[in-house]
Amino acid sequence: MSAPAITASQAFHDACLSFLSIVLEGSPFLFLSAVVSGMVAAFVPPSVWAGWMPRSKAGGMGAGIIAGFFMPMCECGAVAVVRRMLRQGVPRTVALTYLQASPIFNPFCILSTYYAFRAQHPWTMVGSRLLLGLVMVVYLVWRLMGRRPEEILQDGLTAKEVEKERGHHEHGAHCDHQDHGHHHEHHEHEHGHDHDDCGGAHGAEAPRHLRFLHAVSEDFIGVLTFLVIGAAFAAVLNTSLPRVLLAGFGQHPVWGPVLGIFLAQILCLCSTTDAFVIAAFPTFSFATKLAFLVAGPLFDFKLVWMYQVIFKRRFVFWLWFNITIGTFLMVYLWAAM
Amino acid sequence: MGGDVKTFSMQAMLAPLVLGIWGAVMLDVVATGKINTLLHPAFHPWVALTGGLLVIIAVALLFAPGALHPEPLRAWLGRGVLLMVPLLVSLYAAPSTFSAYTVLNRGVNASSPPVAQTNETVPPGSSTTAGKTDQPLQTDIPGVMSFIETDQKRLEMDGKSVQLLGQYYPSKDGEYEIVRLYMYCCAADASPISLSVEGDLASEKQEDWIQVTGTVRFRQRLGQWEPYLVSPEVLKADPPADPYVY
Repeated sequence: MSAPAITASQAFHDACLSFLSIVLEGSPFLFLSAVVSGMVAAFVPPSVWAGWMPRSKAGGMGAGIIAGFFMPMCECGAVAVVRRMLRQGVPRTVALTYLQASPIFNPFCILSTYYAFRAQHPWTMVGSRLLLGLVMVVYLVWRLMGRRPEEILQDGLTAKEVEKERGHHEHGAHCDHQDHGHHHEHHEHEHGHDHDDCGGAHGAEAPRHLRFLHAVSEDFIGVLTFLVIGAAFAAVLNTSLPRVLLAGFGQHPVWGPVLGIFLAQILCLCSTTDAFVIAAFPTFSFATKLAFLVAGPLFDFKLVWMYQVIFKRRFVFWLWFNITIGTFLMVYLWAAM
Repeated sequence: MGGDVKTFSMQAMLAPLVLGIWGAVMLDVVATGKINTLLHPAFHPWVALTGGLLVIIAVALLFAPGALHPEPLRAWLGRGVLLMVPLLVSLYAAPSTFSAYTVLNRGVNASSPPVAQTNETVPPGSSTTAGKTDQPLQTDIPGVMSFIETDQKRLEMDGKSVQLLGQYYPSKDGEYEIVRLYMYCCAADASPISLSVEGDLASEKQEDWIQVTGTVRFRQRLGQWEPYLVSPEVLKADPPADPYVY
């Protein structure tokens, strides 16, 4: 076998190992979130959300951050839960804040950051990560709420569509698929047709256990599709990218944070363990490490696909752009202070 | 079952098929031990539990009337291929550990495992424990790295004999590296950690597993203490059952 062929073979097999490890690590969290989401769909009536969720922006953001602390979920897990929350009529501010906040404001992330940096001014790093993360989350949600829901959310997730769908089923419409006037075309990203209330041929609401099973299955498979795509790209990049070439940039005041953001988005690490990886690079500056820790939980490569379960594709790139630029500016200014 | 016989067709089977296959793969990697090459031990019970529950849900979907909703054929094929083929291919093709291609891309000696170092400084030449001739301490690379946690420990371990296992990687003239992969969560984040060993090892090939017995010494690099081995004795070794350290 020629040297390039050997290299290509090694690269392929190594990427398979990396891919398999990413999807098997993420799947239990994805499944857990699908179960939580299924329980919400089957057992929590939408009136609960309407009753006690705050409607104001500030209140909604506060509720989302508090939920992120007490219902910790990594990026993979939060997507399915948040999609279900939106379908159930949870206010957008709460749901979208939770989506961004839960990977960074959860106790496991805080503890792991402290432990990873325990010899490198841990409270400075923990405090900086939380503060800059908070600023970023508030900024993003504020900007998101300034846009029309139809601009940013996938079909079936806006409050208007959720109300319409609920009204359609409450009138006892027959849910047999042949009677629907539109195709259920399931493309790579889920459309918002919620089959949870579809009953059998008699048009009655389905038993809760069936609704639960269907919701778990739909949410798990729906988000799994994007985990598989994202993991494939991440696996190729994190085995083929020569990290040693990047080491020289780690101390630069401008390229350092850029490198940190780039690495975080390429490596696609869980926010509960990313601190250990970046803490182990002694040549990287504080700013480089902080940029890595702030940007990673907010957006990484696999979320380009997973977020399309909730957001329109163009908007996913808007998110990426704002997170990247915003993190760089904040870290650069913070480190300069 | 709701609807006519045609709805209980392959197109309606996508969900139970995907869930069943994913569940079976998870149970398989746990049962065969392949999971040791993929994930940190803390994740193993969760993968086993998730695999079992996925299989149960898959079976429940088959027998729960009205639970299956057929999908259009094109969507069925597309999603089915995407969700099952990469998983099964990678299950078959994944090696037990990364090759030199990935190890060198990730950088041998570019990082170190999470070991806390104190900021105390010690005057050079203050080691008092040189030349200890105890039985070699059976340890691993993170174990040797932990000797730099405190100055007291470093001074205590200076000159001690240690024995450890790792993969041979050539380095600069007069030295080579013994390497292990340090896993944080999963194989995807595994980073090479290495210990420098004085000497030349022309008889070994890159990536060969070796057992090295040598004397620990310490030197400064980038303002931090770094252990290395001198006077090594090297033996060929079999790859360990678990290729990672934690």
